[in-house]
Amino acid sequence: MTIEIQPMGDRTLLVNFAQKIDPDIHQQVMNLSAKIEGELIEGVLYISPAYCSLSIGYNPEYIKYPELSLWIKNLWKQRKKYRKIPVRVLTLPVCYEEPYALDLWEISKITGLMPEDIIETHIAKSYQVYMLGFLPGFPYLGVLPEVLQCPRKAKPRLATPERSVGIAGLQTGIYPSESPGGWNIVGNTPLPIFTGQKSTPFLLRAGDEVKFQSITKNDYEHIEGEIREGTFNWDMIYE
Amino acid sequence: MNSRLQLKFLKPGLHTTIQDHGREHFRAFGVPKAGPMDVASAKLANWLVGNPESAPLMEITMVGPVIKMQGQGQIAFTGAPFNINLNDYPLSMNQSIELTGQHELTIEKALKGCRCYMAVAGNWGLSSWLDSCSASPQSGRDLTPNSVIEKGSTLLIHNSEPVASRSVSRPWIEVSMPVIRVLAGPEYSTFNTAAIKEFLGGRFTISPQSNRMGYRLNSPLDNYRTPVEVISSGVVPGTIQVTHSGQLIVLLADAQTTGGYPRIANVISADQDKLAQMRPGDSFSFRLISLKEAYEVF
Repeated sequence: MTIEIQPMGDRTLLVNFAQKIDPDIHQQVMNLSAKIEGELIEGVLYISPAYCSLSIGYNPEYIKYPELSLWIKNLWKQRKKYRKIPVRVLTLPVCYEEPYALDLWEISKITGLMPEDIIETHIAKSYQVYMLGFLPGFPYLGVLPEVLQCPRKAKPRLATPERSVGIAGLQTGIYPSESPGGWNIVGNTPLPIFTGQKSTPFLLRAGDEVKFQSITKNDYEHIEGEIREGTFNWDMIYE
Repeated sequence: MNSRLQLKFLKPGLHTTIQDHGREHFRAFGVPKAGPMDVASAKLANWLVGNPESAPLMEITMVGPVIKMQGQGQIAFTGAPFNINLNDYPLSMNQSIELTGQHELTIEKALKGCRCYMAVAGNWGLSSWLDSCSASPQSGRDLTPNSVIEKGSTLLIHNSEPVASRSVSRPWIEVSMPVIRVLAGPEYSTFNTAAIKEFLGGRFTISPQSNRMGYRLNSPLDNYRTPVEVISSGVVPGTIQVTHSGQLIVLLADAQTTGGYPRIANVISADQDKLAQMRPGDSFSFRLISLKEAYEVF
């Protein structure tokens, strides 16, 4: 595999991998991202991974593009010697019932699957967090089974409720906060995936592996209550 | 030394926010950068009052606020020239101004340009989110409740050691047809020659659907026929996206962090400040330069 490095403006460098949505390619993205992060290169401000690219912000007063791109090329050459980065595995409870499953019937119409099959298919596999984007903390998860593939809504919702779990194309995602949005909604998680809190503002990060677990409306309300009271056992969502 | 300056907003102005260095470190989590649109003017305002260059300050857009000021402090205005009056006495831009007592500060309309900056010496004591008190474009009211100025908002600024009066000469230069310098973007080479010719040869006007997240430009690229599918990837302030209909969108300070439209070019940092001072209806053209040239004016 080769990478292609190019400038994106005068303070960002873009690394392109093979342009495909693919778990192995994304693994390479995450590996290189971790490697660059570990180097603590002076002047590098942030490293932001996407599906098959990395954008790296830098301050040209400390480091310029030619030097930084050389550094990255060298790190890429040593990739066989990278230490394997441990992957976090999280299981997120999702209620796929009314009033949360806003578009289950719509999805049923598009895919020809019965609602219970849609749910079963959605929870059957684990997903990779390819990137966070669109909204602070919005995880793009993939790859969604092809049978669930739906286009975005022709008329986007003006306000998709926070924590809604949606699908679009071969992706699934979670709205961290209320927002306009065109994804079809299959359910809702009681877990805040985005909080303003200092210690853990975001529940997920790129590279995580996510599984969904179907819960009843009663369970949902129970967990919501525990979150509110601060008694929820967060350890149970991590493997 | 324990004096302070209180600001009470009788009128908020059109869009007045508090901005500091922003949240660039959290881009991997999908958090917009935020921060001042005209970075050079903001840094200058803070320098004039002896603050660190990326300390919180007020970004004032098109029509300014009316503020009841009480106490003691040092303030400065930079950026686009606005009519600014302290009681009925006109204030100058680009210099530090000492205040004591009670005053009414009226920042009227922008005479030219779009945004001015008001710095106040000292500690603003604002609550921050992800290391920044910049107004958050999403959930701003919850996360940074004091950073979007509303009628009745108050700020209490504890003075720092005052600096000797500072001023700079920074005349406002009007250019009839501004040129915005760009670097080729990641998908530049995927555009056909005719579309590139239009991009580099055309005049573009900022549409009314423009804000701190980005400027939409009128006159789409007519020769843009075969949209390239781009797998969602990073975008930054200055990135110029081309929508499927050929419309250009220049992303700015509050833009989202990823996008799926082809990125034809990126506006260089220095000229993002220039764009920040243009209004809907203003026109400009693009010029392609090299990265080396961009660093020379960084």
